Amino acid sequence: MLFDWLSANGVALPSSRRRSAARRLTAWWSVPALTLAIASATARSADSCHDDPRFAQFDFWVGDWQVYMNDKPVGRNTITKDANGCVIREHWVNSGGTDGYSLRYFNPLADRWQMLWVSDGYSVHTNGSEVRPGEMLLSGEIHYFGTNVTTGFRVRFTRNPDGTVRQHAEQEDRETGAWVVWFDGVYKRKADRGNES
Amino acid sequence: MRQVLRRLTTGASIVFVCGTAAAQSPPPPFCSDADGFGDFDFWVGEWKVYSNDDERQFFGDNSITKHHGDCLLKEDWRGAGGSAGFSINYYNSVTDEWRQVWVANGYSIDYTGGLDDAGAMRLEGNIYSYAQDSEAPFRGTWTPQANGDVVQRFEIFDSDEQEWTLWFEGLYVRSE
Repeated sequence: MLFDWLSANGVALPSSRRRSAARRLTAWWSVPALTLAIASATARSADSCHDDPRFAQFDFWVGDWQVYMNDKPVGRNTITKDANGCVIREHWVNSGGTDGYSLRYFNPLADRWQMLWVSDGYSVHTNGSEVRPGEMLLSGEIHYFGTNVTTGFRVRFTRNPDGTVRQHAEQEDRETGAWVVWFDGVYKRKADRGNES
Repeated sequence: MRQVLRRLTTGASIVFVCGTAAAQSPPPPFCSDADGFGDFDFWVGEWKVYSNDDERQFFGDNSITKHHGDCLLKEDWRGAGGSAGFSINYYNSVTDEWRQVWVANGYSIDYTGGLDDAGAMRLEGNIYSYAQDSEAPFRGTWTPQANGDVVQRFEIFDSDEQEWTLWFEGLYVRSE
């Protein structure tokens, strides 16, 4: 992707909601845009995502974690913020050594958090919001590629008073409509990183 | 409960539920062999990205890697000016669509599509600009070249003119 200049200059877009501005904005992204792209390649970026406190709602999940289920370690999860605070990346490595990634990000236009997780044989698509400070609820669907099954999915992240985080995920049983626990784990910060947030 | 899960899902979710058990007996990767998941392999690699014109302006490094049983293509963009951007790309065989979600400083893009008749990846959706509080239809086309390069073209829809406008075109050259 080649949008360095967008960051520095703000992304100027037309919109069906902003028809009158479209013509003016068109000039932005045609030939002058390329010039700007080159000129701003070394410019400092704007702080759009740092300025909006909603982007910080998931910060309690950022860090290096050891993940436990029933008090047994099942993997490590490294959660980082990047792109000037606009995105949270997840890098999961389970005890067997396989790893996976997710992106989650706050979209201020939708006023929603969105998360996309792709794993071996399935993907999870959810969006949601802060229930209260320290508790995020996302819901959507899980798609199983091998069986061609789609069903409901929801996941809740809760910050505990001791600084650990609980991740509780459920999927819908398509036959009964009941919600079935899919993953229920506790995140503890890795000892070598102390209590840093 | 576990029987319900097993009936409902592939082995993959069981791996997640029983992480330690999975360590001993990982299932064979599903996406490596199934149709569709390799459609975007021509984009996988370590790349130098330039403007696709005589100027050959250098814009940054892009790393496209496969993960999770070849189900996921991860993009890590590092712009020459220090910016960063990330995307997840994957084929969803349930919906028969490729999807990319890209997030960078101040905007995100979410689009879906697939290979066209000429073998180029075409995705169409929306770009969301936070600072402008606006969104617009957006599409990207990745076209493999005969020499292994890839041309990446972005277009945005001008709702006044009712036409797609070229937004950017970049040339990917392998850096290995």
